[in-house]
Amino acid sequence: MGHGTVTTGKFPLGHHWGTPNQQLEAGKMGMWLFLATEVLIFGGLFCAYIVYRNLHPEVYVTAHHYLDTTMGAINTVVLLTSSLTVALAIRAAQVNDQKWLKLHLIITIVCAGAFLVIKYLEYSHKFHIGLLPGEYFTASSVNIPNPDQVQLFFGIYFLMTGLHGIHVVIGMIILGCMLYRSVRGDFGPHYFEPIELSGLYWHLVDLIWIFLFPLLYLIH
Amino acid sequence: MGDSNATYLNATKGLKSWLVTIDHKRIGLMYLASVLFFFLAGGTFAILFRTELFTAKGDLFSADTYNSFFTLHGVIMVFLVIIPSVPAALGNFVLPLMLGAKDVAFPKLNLLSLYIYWTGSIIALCTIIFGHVDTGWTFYTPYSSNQGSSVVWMTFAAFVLGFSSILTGMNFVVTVHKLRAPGMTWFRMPLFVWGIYATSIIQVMATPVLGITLLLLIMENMVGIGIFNPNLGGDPVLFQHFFWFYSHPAVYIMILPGMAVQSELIAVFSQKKIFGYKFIAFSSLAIALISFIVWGHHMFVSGQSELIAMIFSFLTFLVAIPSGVKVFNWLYTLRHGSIRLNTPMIWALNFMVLFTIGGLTGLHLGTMSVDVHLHDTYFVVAHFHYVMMGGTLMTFMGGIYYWWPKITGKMYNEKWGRIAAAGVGVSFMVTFLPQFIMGAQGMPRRYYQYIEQYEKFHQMSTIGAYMLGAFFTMGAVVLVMSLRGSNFALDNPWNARTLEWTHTATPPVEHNFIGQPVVMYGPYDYDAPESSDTLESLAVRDGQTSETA
Amino acid sequence: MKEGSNNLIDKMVHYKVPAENEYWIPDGVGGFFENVDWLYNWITIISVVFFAAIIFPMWYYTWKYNRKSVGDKALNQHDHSFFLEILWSGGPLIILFVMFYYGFQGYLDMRIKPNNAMEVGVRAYQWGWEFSYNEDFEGNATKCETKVSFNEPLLLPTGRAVNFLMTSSDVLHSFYLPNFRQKGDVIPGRYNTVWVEAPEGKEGTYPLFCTEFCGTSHSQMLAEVRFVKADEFNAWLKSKEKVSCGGVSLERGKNIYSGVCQACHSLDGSKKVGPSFKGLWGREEKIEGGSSVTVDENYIKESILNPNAKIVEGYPPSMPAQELDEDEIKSVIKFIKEQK
Ligand code: HEA
Ligand code: HEA
Ligand code: HEC
Ligand code: CUA
Ligand SMILES: [Cu+2]
Repeated sequence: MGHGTVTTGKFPLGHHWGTPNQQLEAGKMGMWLFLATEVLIFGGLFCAYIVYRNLHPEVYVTAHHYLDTTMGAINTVVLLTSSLTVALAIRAAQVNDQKWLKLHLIITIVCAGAFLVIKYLEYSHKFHIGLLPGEYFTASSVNIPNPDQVQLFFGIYFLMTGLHGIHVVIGMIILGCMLYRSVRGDFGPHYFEPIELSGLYWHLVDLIWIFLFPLLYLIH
Repeated sequence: MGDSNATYLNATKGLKSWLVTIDHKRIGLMYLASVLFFFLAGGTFAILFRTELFTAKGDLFSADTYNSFFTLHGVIMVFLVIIPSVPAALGNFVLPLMLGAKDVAFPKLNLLSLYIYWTGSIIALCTIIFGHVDTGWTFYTPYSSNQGSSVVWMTFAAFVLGFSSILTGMNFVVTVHKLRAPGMTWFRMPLFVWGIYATSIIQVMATPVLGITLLLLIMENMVGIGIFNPNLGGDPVLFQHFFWFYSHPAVYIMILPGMAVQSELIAVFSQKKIFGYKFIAFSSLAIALISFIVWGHHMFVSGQSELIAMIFSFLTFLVAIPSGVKVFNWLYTLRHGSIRLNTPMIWALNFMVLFTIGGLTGLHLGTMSVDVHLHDTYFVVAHFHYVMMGGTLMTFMGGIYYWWPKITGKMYNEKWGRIAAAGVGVSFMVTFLPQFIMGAQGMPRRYYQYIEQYEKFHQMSTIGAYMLGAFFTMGAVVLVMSLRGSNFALDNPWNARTLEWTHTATPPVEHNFIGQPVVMYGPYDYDAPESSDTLESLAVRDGQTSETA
Repeated sequence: MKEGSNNLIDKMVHYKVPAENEYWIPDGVGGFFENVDWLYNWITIISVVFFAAIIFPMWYYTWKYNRKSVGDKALNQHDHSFFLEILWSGGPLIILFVMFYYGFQGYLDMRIKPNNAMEVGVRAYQWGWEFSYNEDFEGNATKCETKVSFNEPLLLPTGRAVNFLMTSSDVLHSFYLPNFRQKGDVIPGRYNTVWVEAPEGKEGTYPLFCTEFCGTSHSQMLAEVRFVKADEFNAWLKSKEKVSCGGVSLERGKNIYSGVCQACHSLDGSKKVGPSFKGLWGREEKIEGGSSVTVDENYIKESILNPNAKIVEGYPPSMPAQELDEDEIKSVIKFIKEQK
């Protein structure tokens, strides 16, 4: 135990850790805490959502018709798939299957990309007809009974999906780094912590979408 | 590391070695410098607007200037000074040492959070210089939602600072769980660590909600989403719920670290085991938990339902119990002790007096019908200065003086240190006691000019503020002079029992300890002389003993 | 910007919160002050007792157990007592329950208004108050909604509960009557209420403060509330009715001016927050952005209802929209025409 970086096999042990296990556990705990803060961030938005749904239930019912349920459903499937593949990537690292490790990561990233493309299509349609939040709401062409409040729904819609979208982008960057490191050959049965943690993050991003989808698209 | 003269201060040299350091001690020190700088800035604003308040009429500067000054004062003091003060500055330095760890769990993340703090504060500074923010530190909507870009930037700064706070909190939680030295059981942790641990939990759990609230506010300003805008079907009061859901726990983010330092000071300067260790430790956790569910006591007159107000009032009172438990245990620790009135102890006694007053007047505010009268008057202003400044800031100062020898290796002038500390205590009373009286008399807060009836109280308060400025300056001079002097500190000048004093040199070496410390005794085991001798012998350098005259 | 030169402010500085004892809480009027005052006193006493019980022993200990010489050890290392912990958490707990209970009781009294209360409308705006009456002391409806601005004292009758139905036209404000221990936030887009009652014999003048920060002139949102005997109130209301319900008249326009516009517009050509009304009518006014406009009925109406549509060059866009009806606007125009 000295200072600087000591390498045991392929495991880069920080200078202040006693054993690799200690470091791994700490990393995992840190990640869980981080995920908790993410849940709380979205929790705040969900609260806002609930408050306004209680205040203006009719608005939510009218407005959600302008969301494209098919596209939303496709996106749900896409994200679920990516969640599966990222889990398989971790598995591949554990059993030292370098080829599938890379392949699964690639599939995951492609799914994330597909998700964003579909989201882009949805967004651009709304931009086009002016279903925008706040001041920019100009959906005069659309026949909505009380537009003043409908814009609120779209405010919340764009905020929630937008924030989620940012998370997807960040996830893609992280997974990209993981892919790069896999290609470099960093990971194997002795060291797969970063992939595992990135996977955790990615699951969370999925999970949030699983909540967003019914809350926004499937209102009765 | 073999060189016994190498300390963390001179192990590597040059500005760059500081800017890219991942040593928690250096990071803590940089936080300390920044926090003190901002304290000076916030205090300067206070001195300026207190001068305006010297007369009833608004005659020194314009109303808008006054409004932005108290806003900046509040924002700086809360987000840039008090919240990072003890945890980020002292906590960073001391916590790993106390645990017998070589660093915090994620040293790079630690450095990152310092940079995030700097980014946030630079944004805040730019807003101060180029913009005009006059919403108060509470940013209430709808006033704040159409004040233009300055508000957006200021909230963005607070948003960024929030992330710094979250990362520091996460780092400490994991450090406490995973990096305790062999033998450092949970109940052998110094109470400082317990306090910081409880604080970190609140930081991690509450700050994200502030983040999303500020984000919503930014969106409100930029695209007019309308969530807080009644004209668009939104609810302006919802903002207050969001804001206080964070900011009430935040006041305990401020006080718990203060209490954490207080426990150390009281035990060490009475040379006694702390009384009711477990009660103090668990009361921190109790405060942390209850603090999440009392936010509504800031909104008794906002038109929320009576039932909800009642629940909040009830829970508010519950928080007083663990706070009281701490105060009584500190008091009882003094009994039969061997008390030394060194500078840190004077700060600690200031804390006892001022925090008790602040806490007890919190009870006036928690009582619903009385709060209706006192809400948003100077009574509230006095209350929170007593708890924030009389509480946290006093122990922050106490902590600085207490760990100063460890941090710098130099001893300051005790006489002038004591005078400065006692002077601050007295000036504090002169400044803020009159505010209770005029608050009860009905003087509303955030008033640029006021009716003549209150003039005499305001004048006293202003004079007190000048005195505060003078004594804080004296305190700062004492510290600066010590750096230039050659009064080198002993390894354990206070005869403390925690690892940062017993197991490492003064100032500590780069990776804290030579070898892995093994803990055999509790943090305040003054009754184990043989043990303490062995503990100390490890750390004694150059044949010095641990007792000073 | 020397706002001290403004007459209005000069007047306000001399307002008084009636207080027999200037070092405690001001005189109480009405029903709930009793609950608040005794709780306030009682909690203060409890606080002083606990404070003394902490600080005197603290001083005593630091004196008694002060270290006499280097190397002195603590007398003992006694470090826990379950009994004491229970004592000092349980004892205060009981006291806290009492505080909570009576505080809640008092709060309910403040919130729940009596059924027969006289209703007075309160509209807060940046930066002033407007009050409106629909009934007189006996409960007879007034001829129309009778408005009073905050530059004149707000009259209220003693001997009758008054319920303030409050809303704001812009941001949050708060309605605070220190002598009545009553306060309530005034919120845009919804109504909040507070009620007070001054018993007969408590006639007098009491100040009203705005206690929620609302921008530049937050500290100038003071008003004088004058409680008078029932007959005096009714007579006053009658005289107000004449002006308020009078259709279009110069007098009415003048009244609105001195109530609302005066804070920002002078009549003598001097520049205040906004341009002076002197010689305004028919003037060719330069508008921010380069164009210009002749001041006529339409322009004034627009300036009142939608002030930010055209901003006069050299002024901030800080005029709040005024909620005036057609007759009131015509009256104001009549008044402005007179300012040659
Ligand atoms: C460090 C920060 C800090 C701390 C620790 C506290 C502690 C407490 N605060 Fe304070 N508070 C603030 C910072 C803090 N507060 C701020 C910043 C505001 C205003 C924000 C703004 O509007 O700008 C505020 C405002 C505020 C309000 C809202 C007032 C209003 O706007 O109308 C209320 C109301 O309930 C309140 C209550 C309390 C209570 C009951 C405690 C309790 O935790 C106190 C507990 C301590 C004690 C009670 C003393 C010690 C105990 C004993 C000696 C035991 C024996 C005593 C008995 C129980 C009888 N506070
Ligand atoms: C920790 C927080 C903190 C601290 C320390 C202070 C310190 C002071 N505060 Fe402040 N205050 C707030 C937090 C704080 N305040 C908040 C949150 C608000 C509400 C804002 C709002 O309404 O939105 C407020 C509002 C507030 C008001 C009400 C304004 C209004 O409502 O109109 C007043 C009025 O008197 C006031 C006065 C003071 C004074 C005189 C000091 C003095 O004690 C300051 C003395 C300090 C100095 C003069 C600096 C000297 C420092 C040095 C020389 C360097 C020191 C270095 C070492 C010793 C190492 N403050
Ligand atoms: C809080 C301050 C404020 C109050 C109260 C106020 N105004 Fe104004 N007013 C302004 C300002 C500032 C301007 C100049 C900027 C603009 O044109 O909007 C202005 C401009 C005007 C103009 C255009 C003047 C010109 O020179 O062309 C008119 C007309 C006017 N106000 C009428 C009124 C009337 C009538 C009332 C009361 C019923 C009133 N204002 C109350 C601040 C105020
Ligand atoms: Cu209106 Cu403050
Ligand atoms: Cu609070």
